[in-house]
Amino acid sequence: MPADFQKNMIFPQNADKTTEIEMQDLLRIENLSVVATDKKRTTQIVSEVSFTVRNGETMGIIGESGCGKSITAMSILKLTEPNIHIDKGHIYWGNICLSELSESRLRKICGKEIGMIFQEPMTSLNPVFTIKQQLSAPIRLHLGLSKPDIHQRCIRLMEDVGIKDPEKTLKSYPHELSGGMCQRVAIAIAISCDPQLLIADEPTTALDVTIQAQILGILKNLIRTNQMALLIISHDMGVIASLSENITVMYGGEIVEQNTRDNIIKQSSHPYTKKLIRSAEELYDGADELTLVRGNVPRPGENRTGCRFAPRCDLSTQRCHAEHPPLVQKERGKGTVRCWNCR
Amino acid sequence: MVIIFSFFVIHIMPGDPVRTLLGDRAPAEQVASMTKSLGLDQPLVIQFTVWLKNLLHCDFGTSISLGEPAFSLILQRVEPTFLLGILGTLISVMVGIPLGILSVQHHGKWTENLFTLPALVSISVPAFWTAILMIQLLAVKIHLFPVAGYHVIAKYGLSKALYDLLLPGLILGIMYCGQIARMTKVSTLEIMRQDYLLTARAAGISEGKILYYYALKNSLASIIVVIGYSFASMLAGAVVIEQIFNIPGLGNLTITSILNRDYPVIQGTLIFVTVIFIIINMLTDILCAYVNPKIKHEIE
Amino acid sequence: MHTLLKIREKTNAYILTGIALLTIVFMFSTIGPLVSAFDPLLTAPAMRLTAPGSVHWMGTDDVGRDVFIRVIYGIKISLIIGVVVALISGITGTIAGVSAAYYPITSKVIMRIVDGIMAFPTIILAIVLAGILGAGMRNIIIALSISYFPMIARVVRNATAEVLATEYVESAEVLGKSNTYIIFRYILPNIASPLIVQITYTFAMAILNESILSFLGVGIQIPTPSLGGMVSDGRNYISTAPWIITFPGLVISWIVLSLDLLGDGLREMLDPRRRRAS
Repeated sequence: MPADFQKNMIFPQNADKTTEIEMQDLLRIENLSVVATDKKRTTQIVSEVSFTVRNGETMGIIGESGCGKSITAMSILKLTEPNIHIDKGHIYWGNICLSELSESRLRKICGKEIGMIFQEPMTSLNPVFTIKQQLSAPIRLHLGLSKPDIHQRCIRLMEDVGIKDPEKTLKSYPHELSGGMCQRVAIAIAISCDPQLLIADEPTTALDVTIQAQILGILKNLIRTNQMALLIISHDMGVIASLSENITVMYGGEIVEQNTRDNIIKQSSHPYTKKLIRSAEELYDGADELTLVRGNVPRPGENRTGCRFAPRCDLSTQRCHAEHPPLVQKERGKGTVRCWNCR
Repeated sequence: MVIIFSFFVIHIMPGDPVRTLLGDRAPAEQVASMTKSLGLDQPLVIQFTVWLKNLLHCDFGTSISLGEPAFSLILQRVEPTFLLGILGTLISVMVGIPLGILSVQHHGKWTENLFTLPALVSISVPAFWTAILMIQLLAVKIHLFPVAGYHVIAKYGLSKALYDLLLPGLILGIMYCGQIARMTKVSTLEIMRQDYLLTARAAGISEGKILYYYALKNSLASIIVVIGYSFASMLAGAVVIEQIFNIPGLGNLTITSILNRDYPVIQGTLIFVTVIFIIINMLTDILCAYVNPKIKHEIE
Repeated sequence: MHTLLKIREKTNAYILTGIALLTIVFMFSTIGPLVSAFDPLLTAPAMRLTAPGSVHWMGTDDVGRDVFIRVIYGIKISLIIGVVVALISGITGTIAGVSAAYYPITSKVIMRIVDGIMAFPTIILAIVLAGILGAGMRNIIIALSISYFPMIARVVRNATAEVLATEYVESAEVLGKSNTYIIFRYILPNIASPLIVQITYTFAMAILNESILSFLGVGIQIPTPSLGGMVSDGRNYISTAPWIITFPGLVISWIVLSLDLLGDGLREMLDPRRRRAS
């Protein structure tokens, strides 16, 4: 990780590319609310989340563990556990409403148009199948290529994700590979059918720092060469900032701030975003004293009145504790923010 | 490696019969002589080879009540018990595995009970009771099956032997299908929670294919263990069933020899059944390693 | 302990049904002797093979004994054997399992014995033991306890090993807490769930196997009433007096089923992996 991540950011998309391809909405999430139902009660986990990922664009969702960011990503492809489901809102894929799509039609989009990678590389590959079997399954399913073509493609994909010895790796089983290798394979599986969007749910969290940087590099490369959009979810500001053009900050199941990366980093408004950035900077710069964000993320279902961040916020007023702030357009500059004190 | 390991874990085996067979009241010389006759005073490795050698020489002693070598007595009785075990295993696997998978498919819905309750009942109802009721109903009242007895294959042919064993096999199968259903359900449910199925779903693999191909291939190892285990328990369950159906099998022999205090035969059957147990365990281990490369990796 | 109270609804149904069914059996066996005028051992040749009716609620057997009161006493004996076997094998199994997980040298010895016993099929072992020890309640209890303690020991050993590997135990060790403290403070509360489930199953299996032993004639000896023995006695009269074998068989199934329901319910409720979605 670069020492000063703000200066060393690499832009994943070339400026000229956006002019070539018409910017159109690829993934549009509107007022998404997700609930978990128990036999006795329903608990709201995600409330009224909206964001758009345009063709070839990168969006990062950041927030602490348990703020609903993974659930949001999982509900796009309906991968949540059966007791967690979408309560309100819609997910549009181009013109198709994913949230109303039948299971079988949704599966046709999964893997082909949208690829996804997960947090735990060691457990996200099936232990009883070889890498080749797992990599070729979606290719055969979605693209219907011939055997030699599939093999060719597998080799190329392995090279794309930076695996040195593709033939040998294809023949091995997941337990014979390291965590970093497994994550590379998982990425290869996710991009095997050239999806237009890659969803990466905490892709580097479980990896060593050096491997993290490699995986981020691979992702960066891929989105540039494949002109793929990326939705990346992480709790690490460094990861998010190095990969995404737009950033959505989530807290307690809702969006608290949404803006372009530069605006978020240079002039973030929400106290929570500020604290996240400050802690990240201090970590990378090696500050003597670390600023802490006191307290914990609210558990779903608790504290429904007032701003969810109020109990941990230094600037909270009485109003913050009493009234729940709406997500509004910032008065100065672009972006939206959910705070009574900063507009 | 597996083989050596299993043998040495089981090496205590020949020791146990001595203590359990002779009991506390046995005079010290008797214990000593039996211990000596079984070679238990020898070091482990020699003990192991002697035990193996005796086994190969079929030297279990002579039956007290029947005057025949225990081993040949046992061998005579193996056929119906094995056939019964195979039949019972087939039936219980054919009923139990689908029952388990169906209850996974309906997991969390009320319909799940349709598949779990039969499994529970099958575990809970005593087989000897069902067997007697079934004989009365299906054999005595409507003559669908023979009431009891067994016709040896060598004399009467396989079909006659199988016909004799059909009802007992059915009862054994029903008795153990619950356990198989339960273990299939538990292992498949465990696997259905795994991350790699999420990867498969995200890659667009259909739910049915995930359950019946991806998840099942993972639980295959556990299911093989279950089948091996159930075949082994069938041999034990046969004790009761053979008694009721008057089938001259190993179980029947065990009971008669216990009632007659025929020690060499009891001991012989115990060792024999244990050896079968070990062989089955080894076979399942090998098969498991074959279907799941990760298990193979861990063993190596 | 609050996790124990976190009962999920479906699980509840299993546990509640199990407990309800067990309570009925228990009530039946306590109230039965008070309302029945018969003696379980008293033979009345004149009344032999009487069908169930207002006098003999479950009929009489081949020597004219009242089946109802014999079933009642049979339940009592079954339950006593079940409880005692579950307790003895539970306690010895826990001690063996914890010490096996804790002390490597004991582990080798104990697990050898456990593996050795487990290499025999349980029921054959129980039959052989009961046959060698001789019939009678005490010997059945010993035979069944020896047969079942290895299973519990194994469950406890594995659970304890898992707990021992956790960081809170490691930190307690670093803090210099005594083994006894760690065992009682951390290990026992954490292995309680699998242990309770396993003991419930042992309870069920002990009752089932006691009936098998008695049925085969190596268990409770006549004339003492036992459910398995009654089925065995009634065999020859099944076409003329089916009630002699029907009722005891039903009662065994009832008790074992309720215990299995309870065990399944408990397992589902206490299994930490099932709890995570709540």
